[in-house]
Amino acid sequence: MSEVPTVFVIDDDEPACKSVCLLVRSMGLRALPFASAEEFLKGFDSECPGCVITDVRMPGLSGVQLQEVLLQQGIEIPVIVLTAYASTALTVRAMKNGAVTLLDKPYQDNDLWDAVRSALTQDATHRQTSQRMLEVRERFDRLTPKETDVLNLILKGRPNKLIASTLSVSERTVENRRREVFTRTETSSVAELVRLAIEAGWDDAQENGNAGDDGETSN
Amino acid sequence: MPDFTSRVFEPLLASWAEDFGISLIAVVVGLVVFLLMYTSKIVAGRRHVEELQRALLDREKAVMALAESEQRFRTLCDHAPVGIFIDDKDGHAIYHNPRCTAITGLTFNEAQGDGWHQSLHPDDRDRVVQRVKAATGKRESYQDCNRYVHRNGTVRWAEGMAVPVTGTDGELVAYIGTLLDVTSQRASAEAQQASESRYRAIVNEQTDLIVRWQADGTLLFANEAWCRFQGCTLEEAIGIDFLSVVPEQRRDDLRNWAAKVTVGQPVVSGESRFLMADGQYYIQLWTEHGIFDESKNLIEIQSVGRDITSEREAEEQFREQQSLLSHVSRLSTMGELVAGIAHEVNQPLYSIKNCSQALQNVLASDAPGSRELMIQCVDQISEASSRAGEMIRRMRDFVRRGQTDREVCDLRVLVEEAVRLVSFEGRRNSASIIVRVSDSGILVDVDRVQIQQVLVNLLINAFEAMSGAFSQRREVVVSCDRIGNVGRISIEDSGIGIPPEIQSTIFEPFVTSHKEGMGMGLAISRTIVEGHNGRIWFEHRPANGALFHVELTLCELQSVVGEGAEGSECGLDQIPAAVTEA
Repeated sequence: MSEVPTVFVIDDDEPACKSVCLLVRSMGLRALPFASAEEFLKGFDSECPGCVITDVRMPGLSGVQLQEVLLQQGIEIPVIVLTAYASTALTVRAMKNGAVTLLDKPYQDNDLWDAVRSALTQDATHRQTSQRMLEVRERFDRLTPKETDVLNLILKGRPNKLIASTLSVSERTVENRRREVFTRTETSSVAELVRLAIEAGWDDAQENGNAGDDGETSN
Repeated sequence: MPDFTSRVFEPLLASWAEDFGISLIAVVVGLVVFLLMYTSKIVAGRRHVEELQRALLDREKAVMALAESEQRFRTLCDHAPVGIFIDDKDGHAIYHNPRCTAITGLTFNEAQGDGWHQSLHPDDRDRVVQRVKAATGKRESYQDCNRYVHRNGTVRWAEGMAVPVTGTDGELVAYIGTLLDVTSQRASAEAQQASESRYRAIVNEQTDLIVRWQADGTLLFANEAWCRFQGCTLEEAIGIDFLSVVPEQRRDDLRNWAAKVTVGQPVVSGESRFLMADGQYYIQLWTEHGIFDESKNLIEIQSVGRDITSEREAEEQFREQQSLLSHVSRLSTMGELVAGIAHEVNQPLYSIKNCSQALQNVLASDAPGSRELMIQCVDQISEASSRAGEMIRRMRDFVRRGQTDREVCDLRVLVEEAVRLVSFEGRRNSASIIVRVSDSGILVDVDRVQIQQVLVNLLINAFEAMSGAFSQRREVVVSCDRIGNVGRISIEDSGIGIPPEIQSTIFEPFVTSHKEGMGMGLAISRTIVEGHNGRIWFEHRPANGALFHVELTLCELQSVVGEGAEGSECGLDQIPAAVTEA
């Protein structure tokens, strides 16, 4: 995984493409030119942080079609759409596809800079969020199925006694497993555990009941 | 022929008769001698008999010779191809041969004496009779040429000639003469004269200016039109130096030509443009024709000039209007292309803006490695501004109000420029343009802008033909080939083809299959191509779209410039529009 964010510039007009790259590089960022959406998709590594600046009208896949392909493939890279002829229909479609913004060529001085910054922030935030979620999930994944059952009941606010009767185990076993849950999730209080569970999106997992493989099926 | 014998041969016969008389006496004497000899000495008399017999035989021979001579003379007269006549000393006819009879139409019986007068043409009769009378009065020979009216109504011209014949005593005895039928000679002479005067009338009535002159310039003849044009009479004109009135620009050429003209190449022609004293401008087309005698010496020069001022003016006006029409058509084409053109100019401006902004950023930050970035930006700006300028030049050329300027162009460059003009239009129609050039240096001598107009028209038509929803593969293939002595550009689309109902009239004005548009594009294209002595046509290929061809004659410089054009500034790889889809 590359740490430096890259701006992927896609435009079939080679000089225009190059000029955008130069502008991006002048902002202190890495820029890579592509002559078509297909060429970009071919070599794209979703692990690589960055954002896409694409022209709309190109032979082959258009900028908007590229957004749709990325959505289909579950690649969440922020896209800035550039166009010389923005129509309402086009704008709506691009924004619906999750474009960071749609810029008219030629754009105002700082518009691209703002757009790129916002896109990269969005990407970074997104990546951070996904990273944190992965870490948190990983903590919950350490739990054994039996401990997970105890966790679920703790999150529901059940006292130990009730947990023991629900699971038909001794209160002492519940206490042991509860201690184990705190240790494995690196938490020290129920409040902390609940916050972490929300962060990991554990709510959904809870719905699935006591299947025992909650951690893996959560999404 | 009693008269003939008595009158002509009388003197001759008289002398012979004299001899004959003497012979009779001799015979009588002989007989007496014979009787004496017979009675006395028969044997001795026998010799006398023999002598007598011999003498008789001689006489007989003489008579026969005479008859033979007359027969010969008669045969001669009967078959002679000319008329032969004999008149008495006073001009009265005493003999006409058959040829005479054929000319006068009178039998000898009718013609004899003064009978022949009635055959003379009434207009000639008195004169001829007087002349004969005058000549015979003076015993002179005479001749005349006059008409005879045949009884069948035909009029014949005959030349008569008679000489006096004198007898042995020197007395005038008769006139012997000939009559020659000259009708056909007269007729051809008359015809020639008629033709001559007709020719003269034609020459004079011509509106063309006609002059005959000698190699040194001396004017021999000028027709009325020329005299009128020069404001002089024929009398004044004859003898002047023709070349002195020829416009200066042409005078020396003509003088040199006249000095060198040959039988092999006797004709030269050229245009004279000049201002007359009245301020009027004239354009004349002159043709000079050298006339040579049998030994190939230049006798004179015939010059025919025609005023073509108004023709030329009309032609120029026509050209002017045609150029105006094609200009209007180009403007309208440009209207269709304006969005694309704007884009093509906008793109480099956009690049320039990006780069200058990048430069600002770099200058503000002063980060390491900024120098290399700045150089790239400046390069990019320079390149982009050239590109914008080039596009604007191309556009301005295209809508320029053109005089028709011919120049030597490479077909490839023509095609590439046209493709560039429509490249955005192609992209807008999601059509790819593929350019195939078999050979560079296919050179034609054309009006660049007009030929581009034709190509742009055909390309736009191709895009429109493919805009139908059912056209899957949207591809225009433009190819340039050298075929013999012509260069051919073919534009092939994968569209709907040409509707059958307009196939025969597609090149006519106001014929179109488009909802929009005037239907002038192809009509003007044809006018342009044919104005270049080229041709334009199409092939309808069902299910394969239309295929248009434009053929232009290659220019002669071909091989020479061909090599130089190899590295022309416009390479295929530089055309952003010529997209080859994978």
